[in-house]
Amino acid sequence: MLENFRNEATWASLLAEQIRQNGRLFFRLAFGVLRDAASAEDVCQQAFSKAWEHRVEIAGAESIRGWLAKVVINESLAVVRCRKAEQRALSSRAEIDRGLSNAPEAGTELRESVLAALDRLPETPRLVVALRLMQGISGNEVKAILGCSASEVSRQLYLGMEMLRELLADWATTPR
Amino acid sequence: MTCEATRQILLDLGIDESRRHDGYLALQHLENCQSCQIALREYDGISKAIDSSADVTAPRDGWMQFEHTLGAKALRPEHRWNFPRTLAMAASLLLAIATFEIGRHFAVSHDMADAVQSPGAGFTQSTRFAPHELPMDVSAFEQVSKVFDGRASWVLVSGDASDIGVAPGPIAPPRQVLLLRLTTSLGSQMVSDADLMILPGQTADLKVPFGKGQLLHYKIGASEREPTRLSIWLEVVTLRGGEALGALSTTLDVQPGQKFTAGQLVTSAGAYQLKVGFAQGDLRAAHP
Repeated sequence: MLENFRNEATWASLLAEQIRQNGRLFFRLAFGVLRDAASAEDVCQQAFSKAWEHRVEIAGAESIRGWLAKVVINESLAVVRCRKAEQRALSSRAEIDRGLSNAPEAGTELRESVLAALDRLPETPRLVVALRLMQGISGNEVKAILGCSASEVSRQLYLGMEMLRELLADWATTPR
Repeated sequence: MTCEATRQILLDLGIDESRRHDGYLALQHLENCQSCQIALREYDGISKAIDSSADVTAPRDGWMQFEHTLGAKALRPEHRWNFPRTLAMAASLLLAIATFEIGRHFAVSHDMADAVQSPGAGFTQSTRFAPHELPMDVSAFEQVSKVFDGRASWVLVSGDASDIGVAPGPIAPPRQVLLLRLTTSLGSQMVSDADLMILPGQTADLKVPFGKGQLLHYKIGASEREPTRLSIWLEVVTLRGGEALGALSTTLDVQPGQKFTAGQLVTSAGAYQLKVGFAQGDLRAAHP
């Protein structure tokens, strides 16, 4: 019981440190995907709640930043997925009701396609692409967040981009 | 130099100083390789489409408040049934009494897997709170909260599962409790309803089984400064394996007495609709 309390106190201070050091990074990551401050705040909230819930499974203090970043990206993409499903349901209903189709602008459509494709990538390349390309975080910083080598970050970025190209092949070959 | 090496280097020139000397070789390769030229153009298109580094705004109430709120919530997480067995049993008993008083013959369980009962049992209420229901729900919350020395942050009462969220430390004595009636339907058929009593500033993580082997997983947050602002996240998952079938997420400003549709959740089985009835109740003696 006492050990349990001790562990919880350690975790509480670890999370407090993460908020101080990386809270803004997590918000930026979520906002980058969601483009909405309220939702980005909610996602950060969920990520920290999850970190607490899964504290036993998170390997160690050094991996918590990467773990939180991963959860923020995944939760944000889940919100996008959900919004998209809602939008589809609403627009198909509107089409039936009014015989209208509200086609999104090309830029928005491309961004949504890239996000949907990003959602389908394996975890590590997804995280590397999101950190490097969405937020312009330097490779060395990504290396520190993920706790892996520079060449591994490079490789994962390359893999992620190649997978995205493949998933977006339809878009790339369609003239705009 | 191979295409793969060229693309890796050109994608990530900034990462590793020791690889900069390869840049020259990569550029040479690029000049003569049409496939790499196409790849880089597409990388560029993808990057531009999702680059949002310049667009980021600050949180609604500023960075300081954001960090403060995040800290307050992260360091005050919910604990569910992490208490001596006798205390949990006392709370279970109280919940059973409370639910009976509320007029629902609900069973109480803290083990979600065991909580699946005949779906729809006792579903007779409308989405909106009737005036006579408010004191009963408030009283249920007060009774349960007393067992936990005023640390109960939320109480869920439903026919399929009842549960309590308890904060590890004392909660500042609140004046009001928010009452939410969560009604989920699939097409015209109601599949689950539950009453949630939650204190402003708290977040409830709820799992309500329904149907055959499915679970409604709610995360509901109530703002401390704006108690009428609710964030609602709902996911339909399979009980076995926890596979997510669909989810919805929304933030709403609501008024007491109001009934609203929180959104629609589309799955292969059809569209689930979540309706929420909202009310506020005054607390008297919940927090000594």
